[in-house]
Formats: sequence, structure tokens, C-alpha cells
Amino acid sequence: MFSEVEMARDVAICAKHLNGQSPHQPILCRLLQDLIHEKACREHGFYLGITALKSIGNNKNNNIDNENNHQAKILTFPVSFTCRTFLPARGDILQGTVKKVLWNGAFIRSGPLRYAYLSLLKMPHYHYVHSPLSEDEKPHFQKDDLSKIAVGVVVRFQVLAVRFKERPHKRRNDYYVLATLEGNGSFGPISLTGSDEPYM
Amino acid sequence: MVGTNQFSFSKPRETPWNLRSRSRSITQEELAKRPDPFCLPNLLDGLEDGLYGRLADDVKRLCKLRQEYLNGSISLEDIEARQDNKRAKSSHNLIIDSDDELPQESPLEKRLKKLKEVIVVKNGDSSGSDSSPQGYDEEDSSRNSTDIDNQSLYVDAEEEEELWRKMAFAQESIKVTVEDSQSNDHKQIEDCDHSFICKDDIGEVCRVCGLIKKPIESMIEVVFNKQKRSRRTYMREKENGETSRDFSGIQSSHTNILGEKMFIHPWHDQEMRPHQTEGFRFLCNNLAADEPGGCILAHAPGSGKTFLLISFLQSFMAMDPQARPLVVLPKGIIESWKREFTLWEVEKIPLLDFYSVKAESRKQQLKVLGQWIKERSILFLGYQQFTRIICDDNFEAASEDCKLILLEKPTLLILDEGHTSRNKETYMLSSLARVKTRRKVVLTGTLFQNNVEEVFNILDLVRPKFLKRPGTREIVSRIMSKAEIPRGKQVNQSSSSIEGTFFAAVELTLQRSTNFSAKASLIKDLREMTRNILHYHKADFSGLLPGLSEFTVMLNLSSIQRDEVKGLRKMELFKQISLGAALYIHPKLKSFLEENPSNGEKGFSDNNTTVMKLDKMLKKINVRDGVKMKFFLNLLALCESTGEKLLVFSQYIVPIKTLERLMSSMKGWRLGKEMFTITGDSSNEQREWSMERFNNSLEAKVFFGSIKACGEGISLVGASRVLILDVHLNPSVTQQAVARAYRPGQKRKVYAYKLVAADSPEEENYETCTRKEMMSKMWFEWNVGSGREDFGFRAIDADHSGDAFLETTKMKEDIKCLYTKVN
Repeated sequence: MFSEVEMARDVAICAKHLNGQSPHQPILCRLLQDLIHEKACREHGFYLGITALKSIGNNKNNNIDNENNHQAKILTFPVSFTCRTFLPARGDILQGTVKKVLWNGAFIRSGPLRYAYLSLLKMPHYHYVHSPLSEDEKPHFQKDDLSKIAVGVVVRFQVLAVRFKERPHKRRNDYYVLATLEGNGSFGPISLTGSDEPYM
Repeated sequence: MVGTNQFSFSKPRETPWNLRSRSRSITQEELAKRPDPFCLPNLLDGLEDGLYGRLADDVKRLCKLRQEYLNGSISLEDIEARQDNKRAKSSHNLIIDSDDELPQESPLEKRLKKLKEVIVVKNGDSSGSDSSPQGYDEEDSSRNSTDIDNQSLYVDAEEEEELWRKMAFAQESIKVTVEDSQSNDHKQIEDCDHSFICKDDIGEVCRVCGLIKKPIESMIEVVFNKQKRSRRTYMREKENGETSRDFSGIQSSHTNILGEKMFIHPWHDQEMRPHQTEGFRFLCNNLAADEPGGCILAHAPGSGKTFLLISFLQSFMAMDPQARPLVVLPKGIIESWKREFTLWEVEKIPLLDFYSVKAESRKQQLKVLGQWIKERSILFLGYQQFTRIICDDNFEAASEDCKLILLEKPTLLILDEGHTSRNKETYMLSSLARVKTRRKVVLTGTLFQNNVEEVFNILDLVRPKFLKRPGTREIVSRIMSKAEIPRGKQVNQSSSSIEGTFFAAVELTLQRSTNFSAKASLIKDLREMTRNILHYHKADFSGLLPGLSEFTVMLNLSSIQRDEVKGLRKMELFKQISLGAALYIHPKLKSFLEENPSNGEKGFSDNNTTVMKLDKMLKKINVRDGVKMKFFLNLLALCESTGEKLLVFSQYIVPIKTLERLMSSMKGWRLGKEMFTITGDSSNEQREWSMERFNNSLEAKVFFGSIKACGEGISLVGASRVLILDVHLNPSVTQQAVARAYRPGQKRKVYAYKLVAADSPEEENYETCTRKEMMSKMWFEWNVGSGREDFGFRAIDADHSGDAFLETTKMKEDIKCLYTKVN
């Protein structure tokens, strides 16, 4: 689900980047980069964008931390802002584009959610179609009424399970989702003009 | 990457500063609808997915170039100059992957064009900012449906866990290439003066951009306590006591005891399998006859030879109060024998050896031998120790007494892993031949090792002058009259020359002859010759174990490796093999070995300086240059996704240590927790502990083994994937290595991968190896009656190998061809 939350965090920046100008723009650049690299948190979900900037506090006193004088001077500013987030939850109904088709399932991409796995077990009445003879036709899943789930097809699905994957080394957190087409009759491939990729 | 150019605010708000007014232009609005190729989220996603494949390095360089331009450190003219250089370079190095997601035209040039466009626009209008696409908010809200029916989403917890596992395997399958070992590379895109501090939960981390310089796992050394191994003793039952008295009764009523038939103990009898019962009768016919003689028990690995001999030993000793069996075996498996002997004990029999009492001098050993003589007991001895005592040049009284006792006193000599003593050139064979008793048993799972002569060396050991015996000599003459005699060899009266010709003729007929009937006739004669003294049993676990698939994987070398192979061919043979084994894993490893030649005396792992150099080399390494290292990393990632454990064998210590250090730096794994290693330097306690922990611990992921040190006698049934890094000239050694996992106790299907570097000296060695294996199969397993003669290896397509791992894209990338065994 989408939500707008108020967040506060410290933004650290090198002193030499400030160049005597107003520090607000470099601080905002650093904040946005940090959010892009982090991508998601366990509590709120994916960071979609900053909707409001509430306050930028004054520089904290970091001289005590600089035990070594050779270290570059680091300034730390507390920043308070509101951020729009998307937290996938069990039972959510989403739309996404199929990115990869395997023999046992498909990967669907839905906005910032990159790995929604739709298993063959959760596609009722679909079967895997794969002809090794003709190279033109790519593997896909097909139902008796010839509706098709292939790469590039937009699919409406329901979230079955969610897992938060924290990567301490690479510092890019992510959410993984299990998808299902069972239940509602409206699930499955749909017609949609254009792409669902949000351009920024 | 300047973030404000990517994110903008749809409504102006009160801020402490004045937001610059936006100037709209037609060019900007058109650009806003097109995806920015350098948009950071898409870029990071692409790098993580391995979308760029081999071009990932180029993409990173482009990002760095653009970053430098945006920071004002270089101008547009410098960029154009660099473009010309890069275009010249890329025309040589650019390789288009088979990944269909990459566009058909040159991706690098396409991105260069886009880069130029973006730069030109920014150069013209530096104050512009993009507006977000209209209607994005409405589109978001329409997705959030309020009709949520939780009841229809009930899923079993086990089913959900199964779906997560399938997802993990599918994720690994769609990766195009091996993960780069420098996993923090894309963080270098940022321009940051790093200021590292130490945090308790992360490690050494930059306060500004969050780059982790040194993770916390590598900063803190955790020592795991060794698990205490409790020794269990089995209580003797009254029933066994009663039966033991029956044996004593038989003993007192007959003086010529060995002439009587021996019986399998009832408790053992119900545990024995049919081939073991046959083996027991076979041993009785040879060892307990009026004229006892030696024999060979050639049962396949894991088919219960030890249990069979233990049962026979106890029956033998019950019949003969003067029995003094001597068991010579590899030193590393004495404990296994003792443990199993205690398990199947019928009556108390002392088990003596030099190692548990630390008898190192001849006087101390003489004391143990004296105890063995005085009391009815069994003596265990290592092959090397036995040879050292017999070949001792020292003329001390204690030394002479030890030698005399070992040669004269045994009434039964058991040679476990008896193929160890096959080489006529060594003292071991001659030492064992000097033992006086005629009751000699050779136990081996792999009788045929290198050539025909070695088999007959073992036959000579158990039956001296085997080829000259009355029944055998006629068969030899018959074989010589039919077989093709190699050219250049002429029969003369010298007996050693006749034997040499015989061996060569047998080898030639089995190996190269196209005459089917000649082969069949020769094999019949060989089997007739050895029928009474050789009991062969091929393992058939098809009903007991889940299954085994063995693949020989021919890998295409990388271009750097191919260049190095040319220099390799000029080297001397053994240097070629050992340096080649390092080269096929990674070319940097060969350079490392040339700079740091390993001393034979000092163990590799004890040398901390060499290990540090190795770690330093591994940090700068490009994993893609080494084709076997790449295969190993891909296989390990797939094993991790499916929860399977991996066995890795190599002949040499350096490849094992290298992969171990690589895993330590890439994944933060530790020896004794996720990784385990057994080499020749490992002590017996270390081996037992590693084996037990690897099999039972859930955290265990990979086991590295020196193929000689743990090729026999240990059980690693926790692993279901076996990777053999290099080609051993002896095919039996490889077979034994696979049998560490494929043996009773295994619960999964076992997959074995033997890696061979294509178009290299290793491929030639592999062909030699295959030829030896075929000869062994023909001699002992071929059903001569049926006309089927398709032995060998069948070439299969990587797409239809039946192994889900080999069918993934990143595994197929380097495979030239794939072979599997025909059963």
C-alpha cells in the first residue's frame, strides 16, 4: 500500500563540497542519493519520492569524533522530510510487466518491485509452451482460451507473500514477492497501452 | 549523479531558500519523456541483475566519465577525445552476449550517443529541471484496491516455503554471467572523500556515502569450540556369550581346527548382503583350506568390505587360538576400522596399533609387538610404517626383532585399500611380499589402477609366482598365441621379458584391437585365470540410493588462458600438469605459483606470508578470466539457492586454498563454519570433526578436499554435488572421490562434475584417463555374452543434460561439450 510518512535522518557531507554557497542544495543531493542507494526499508517499504521538505537543522558538532586530524572535515545536518512509500502487503492487487519466463514460473516487475515471482503452481489452467524447433516463438504460458503470459505482457496479480531482503554489504535493500492468479476472475493478462515505467 | 535533476517537486512550497524559477523549453519537454540511460535507479538495478553481462565494466567507466563531467573537472572536448580512444578500444574488445535483452546495434556506441545528447542539453541550459509525468499520482491510487479477500489467500506454510525456494533457484538461473568478486564497484561511481569510522554492527564504513571498507565479520575472529565426541561402548548380550561358548566347545574337541568349515555368526549373517555371504565363503575356501593361499576381494567402494572382513576375522580367531592377524591399511582409516570392529564385536579381542599409544621408537614398538604375540589380538599398521620397519637399515637388536616379528608371526595378513601396494618400483610391494604367511587378503574397491601389470603385481603378492603356476601357465600360453604381440618385441627365453610381452599384449588387445572376438576371448581367459582367487563385486545402489549423474564438462578457456597454454606446452611434464592445474582455474594463479614456488617441506597453510600475498592477489582478480573459477562460483551460487552442499576435490593444495580464500573475501565465510578443508596435513581429529560437522551442520556450504587425503575411507554424504577441479591420471582416484558422497547414507541424487580444459594438455591427459577406465570396465564388468560393446562416454547436449544446474544460461556459457557415462 502507498503511504506518506514523515522521516528524519542525518545527512553527512564533505566540507569541501560546500564551496561557500548555500548548503541546502548539496544536502538535498546527498539525501536523494542516499535514498536511491538504500531503495527500501523494512518499516515503510520502497522510497518513491520526497513530497515535502520540512526542515534542515544546523550542523552538528563532530569534532569529537574526528580523533585523527588527517580526516576530512565532515558536516552532519539533521533533515526532516515527508516521503511517499510503497509497502507491498499480502492481499494487495497489483499490475506488472512480465520480465522473464522460465519453465517453472515467471518474474513480474511492478514499479519499484523488481522480483515478483509467479509460480506455475499459482497459475491455474496455464501450461508452459516451449517449442525448441522454431526459434522465433519464445517460451510462454498459455491457457485454453489462448490468453498468454509472455515477456512484455502486463499481468494483474495478487500478492501471496512478501519478504524483505536486507543486503548489508551492497547496501541495496529489496522486497521479494510471491504472486498468484488464483481466486478472483479478473487476474491474469490485461490490455494496457504504453508502459508502466515511471519516468522521472 | 545530481539528484535534483531527477526528482522535482510538483508544487512549490515554502522553504528557507528561494527555488529557482524553471524555464521551460521544447527540448527539455521532449527529453523528459525519454528514459535517461544514466538514471541511477535503473543503472543500479541493471548492474545487480547482471543485465549488462560482459559490458558491466564499460558501463561503469561511462558513468564515471559522466560524473567527472558533471562535477566540472573535465570539459566536453576532453570527453570527445576520450570517446575516440574508447571507440578504438571497444572495436577490439567488444563482445555481444547472447542475452536477447541487449539491443542489436552496438550498445556502447548507442550509450555514447545518448551521453552526448544529455551533455549538450545540460550545457545549453543549466538551470532546468524535469517535471514528473502527469497523472502519476492518479495511476498509483487506482492500483490500491480495497477489495481484499484474505480468506482466498490461505496458503500452507510448507507450500509457501517451497515457493520461496523455487524463486531463489529461478533467480540464480536467470543470471547471465558470474557475479563479480568486486561487489562494491558500483559504489565507486560517487565522488566522495571517504571518512571511515568503525561501527559495531557494520564494520569500517564511510560516514558520507556508506561504503563499507571492511565488514564487521572480517574484523572479529570467532573461534568455535570443537564438539566433544563421546565414545560409546556396546554392551555384550548374554546371547552372544552363549554362542561364544559354543565356539569354545568346538575348539576343544578337534586338534586340526582349520580343516573344519567356518560359520558366519548368526548375528552377522542376518545383516549380510548376498555378495557379502559369497565373499565369506570365498575367503573360507582360500584362507581356511588344507593348503591356504591368498586372495583378492575386489568389491566396489561402499559395499561393505570392512564388515565382511570383521566378521571373518572373528570367526577365524574363534577357531584358532594361535591366530595373529595383521591388518595393514592407510593410517587415516585405522580409527574407522576400530570403531566398526567394536560395533560388530562378538567377543572381546584387543585391537593394537602404534599410534594410539604413541609408539615411535623401535623399543616402544617392540613392546606393542610383544603384547601382540603374547595375547590373541589384532595388530593395525600403516603402510608407510610397515615399509619403514621392514626396510630399516639399522642393525639394533630392537629393530631386528621388530622386523623378524612382522615377517614371521602373522598368521593372516589383511591389506586394506590393497591397490596402494601395486607399484613394483616401490619398497612397499617387496616388503609385503616378504611376509611369511600364505594367508594374504587384498581388499580393494578399485583393483585396476594404471595398467595391466599392476593387477598382476597384486596377484603375485597373494599368490607368489602366479604366472608360472601349473594351471595359469597354460592360459598364459593360450593368450599369447591369440593376442597381437606388439611390434619391436620378440619372444626370447628370458622370463621377465616374456612377462613384459604378456602384459603389453594384453594391454594392446584390450585397448586398441578392433577384433571383437579376440577381446572377448582374452577377457574370458583372464577371468578363468583369476576365478578362484579374485572375487569381484560391482556396486549396485540403484535400489538403495537416489541416483548418480556423472558429467565430464569440457570448458572453453578464456582468451588469456588460451595464450598461456601455448607457453605451457613447452614445459616438462609434471611441471606442466601442476602449473596447468593452476592456470585452468585462473591465469593469475599460475603467475602467483611461479612467483611463490611452494616448498615441499613447509605446509602451504602454515605460511602466513604466502596466504597474505594470495589474499592481496584475489582482491585485484577478474573472475571472468578464469573459466574453472567461474564455473565453481556459478555452481556454488546455484547450490546455495537450492540448499545443497558442494564437495570440491583437487590434487593440489594451492587451488583449494585459493578458492577457500576467495570465498572468505567474497562471502565472508569462515573455515570451520561454512567451509571445511581436509588435506594431507590435517590431523585425524581434524578429519573426523570436519566430516561430522560438514554432514550435519545446516550452515555448512562447501567442503574442500585434497583428492589423495580424503579419497578413501571417509563419508561425506551431506553433499550432493561433487566438483573435481583437475584431471587425475588415475581414473580410480576420481571414482573414489565421487564415492565419498555416493554411498550408503546419501539421501539426495548425486551430481558429479569433472572439469576438463578444452584444447589444452589437460584434455590429452583426460583421454589417457578415459582409456584406462575402459580397460578396467571391460575386464571386470563387461558381459561377454551379450553383443553390446558400446562402452565409453556419450556426448550430450547441454540443453538436455537432465541437470537443472547445467541447463542454466550462465553455466552453459563456457561449456564446449558435455559427456556422461553410459551404464
